[in-house]
Amino acid sequence: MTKNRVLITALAVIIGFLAGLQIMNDSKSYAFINVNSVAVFSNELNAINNEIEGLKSIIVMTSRELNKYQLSEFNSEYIADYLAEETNRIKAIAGYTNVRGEGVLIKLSDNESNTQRNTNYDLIHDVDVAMIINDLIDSGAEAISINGKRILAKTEIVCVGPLIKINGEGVGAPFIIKAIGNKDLLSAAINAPNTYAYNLKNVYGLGIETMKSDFILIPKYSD
Amino acid sequence: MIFAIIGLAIGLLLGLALSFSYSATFTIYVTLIILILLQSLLRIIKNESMEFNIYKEAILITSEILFACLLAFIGEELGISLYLAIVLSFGLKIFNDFNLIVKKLIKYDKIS
Repeated sequence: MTKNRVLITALAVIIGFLAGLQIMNDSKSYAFINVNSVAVFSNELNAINNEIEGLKSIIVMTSRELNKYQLSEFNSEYIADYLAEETNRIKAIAGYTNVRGEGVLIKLSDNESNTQRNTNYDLIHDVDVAMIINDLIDSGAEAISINGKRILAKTEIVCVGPLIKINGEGVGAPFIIKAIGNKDLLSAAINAPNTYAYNLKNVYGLGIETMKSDFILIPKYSD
Repeated sequence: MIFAIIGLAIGLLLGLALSFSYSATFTIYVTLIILILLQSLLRIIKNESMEFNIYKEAILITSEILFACLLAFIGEELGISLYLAIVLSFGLKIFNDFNLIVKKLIKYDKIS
């Protein structure tokens, strides 16, 4: 029996000692990791490094612009030209100029055949228009208008009963969307299988027609 | 039982008093050693009426510790958490032994 007691005491002392060491060792801030989490962390690190590179290039661009301003301080004519040029460029981006170029025309119309289902499925909704506009922007559209209303960064597309409110004015179906950009890419954004517009056309039976054109005029935004 | 508790208390005080620190990499190995020793302790307490040979016990426990550490090391090298297997098997054993000890203490098998 004494042998057993010696054994038990020795084991207990060692366990207690190790447990005490483990408690005292400040390894709480470390985590056990494996290969997977290493890969995840390195991906995260790469993403953050890329972001830093992007920010650095923005710094370079901005300081170049600042240099231009400082140079033109000596010459008042030069700065007037420069600012006019800048204003034109910003106006074009913001949608305050007429735009011409190749692009697509899209006509969205309600399903007019007499179906026996819920009427909601047969109408073009604000969400449908917004989704199609987003698809067009994603495929590189430079300027877009709906029934003559220019789409700006601040433009809303909101349901107001039977109409859709765009730039504060009601617009009714059918909607004619004009978009300027690469015409093949833009028409693919509407007609390629499994896009939003494709599903509207082939699942819900709404009328969606596209036409590629080499010359489209999109009017400027007017208050 | 009483010896085990006294020993644990002495060891804990000793470990807390000595602020001996080691790398965080060894944390899982120390945990495994604690687990294996605890299982051995409970196994001996469970069969207290048996006569144990100290040398044979030492060899058994040491071999268990070495093999567990080897397995954990291999697991870490290969990127799979192999040490969890050891934690699971020894945890189950510890729980079984603990159960038996408590049953013996409260004379579970006797009819009232």
